[in-house]
Amino acid sequence: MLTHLRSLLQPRRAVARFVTRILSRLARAAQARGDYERAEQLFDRALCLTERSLGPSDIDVAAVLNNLGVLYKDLGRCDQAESMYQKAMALVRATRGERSLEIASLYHNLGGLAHARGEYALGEPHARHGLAIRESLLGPNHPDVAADASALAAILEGQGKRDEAEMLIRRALTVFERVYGSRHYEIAVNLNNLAALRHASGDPREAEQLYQRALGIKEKLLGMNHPDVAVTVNNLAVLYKDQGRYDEAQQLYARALTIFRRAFGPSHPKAIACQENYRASVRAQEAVRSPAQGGGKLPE
Amino acid sequence: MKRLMLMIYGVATVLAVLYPALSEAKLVANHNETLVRG
Repeated sequence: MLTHLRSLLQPRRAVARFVTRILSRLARAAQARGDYERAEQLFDRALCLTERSLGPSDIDVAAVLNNLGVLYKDLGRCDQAESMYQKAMALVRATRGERSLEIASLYHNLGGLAHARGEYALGEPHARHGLAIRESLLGPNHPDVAADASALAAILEGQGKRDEAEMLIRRALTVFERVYGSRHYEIAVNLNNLAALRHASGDPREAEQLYQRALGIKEKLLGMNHPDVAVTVNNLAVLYKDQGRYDEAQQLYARALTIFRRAFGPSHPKAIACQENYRASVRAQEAVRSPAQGGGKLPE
Repeated sequence: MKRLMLMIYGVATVLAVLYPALSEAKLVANHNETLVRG
């Protein structure tokens, strides 16, 4: 409150802060709908404005750097994301100290970056540290704490620590359903991750049901051609392929691959992983078919 | 003049509604969504 009153005495800074936060919100909205080019433009403008008007060590600069880092991670530009997070971390440490919600978010995101790189063991301490800080500040039943737990679960799942991962996801889902209801983006992400866990644990029936629920929510919230929809479509295809349902799998792979390539280009890690999955499915189908019948064709 | 005053009041109302929502710098936390390989 005192900060707000003080900012009213410096109208130029208050206006700059206000405009920065609107630009950041617009950028995040563009990112959420998959318009990454527009999101980057808006974040760049927000960063220029904050650095010029508020100085290079203002907390708003740290926020824009962090949010730009999340965008770069989504785009597969992990080195740039790391650079943004490290700069933001130095600023937040200097202005808010070691035990703040902002630091918790940065540890969460450093864990997320390690997850995106497949460096799960490196990400686990960051994710645990972020969760511990936020839980001590907000208590165990806050949705942001549930989001930290969910992010940690994905990192544990990557290391095969399935029991703890499943416990964390189910607990996070309980919190999200209580706070947001049953058709929220957070629910869809956690249903997708739980489905992947159930699939890996040898329960394809529950995995399929969970994927279908996740997909239904995502398609309704994000539309049919959003890259987050493609993630679940890819995962469902892997499940079908493992069940020998190759034709269904390959239709889904083709759909996911088209979405990934259109959103990110063919060299994005998700597009490459999906293409390799598709090829593995075609090879598996060819192995059980007579050679004359051949396999599926990758989309151009 | 009356239209100008209405516009000013309108803009002030919008800002008053938006400002609390924008009053904290928000550091977004990313989602770690599992993309299965297989």
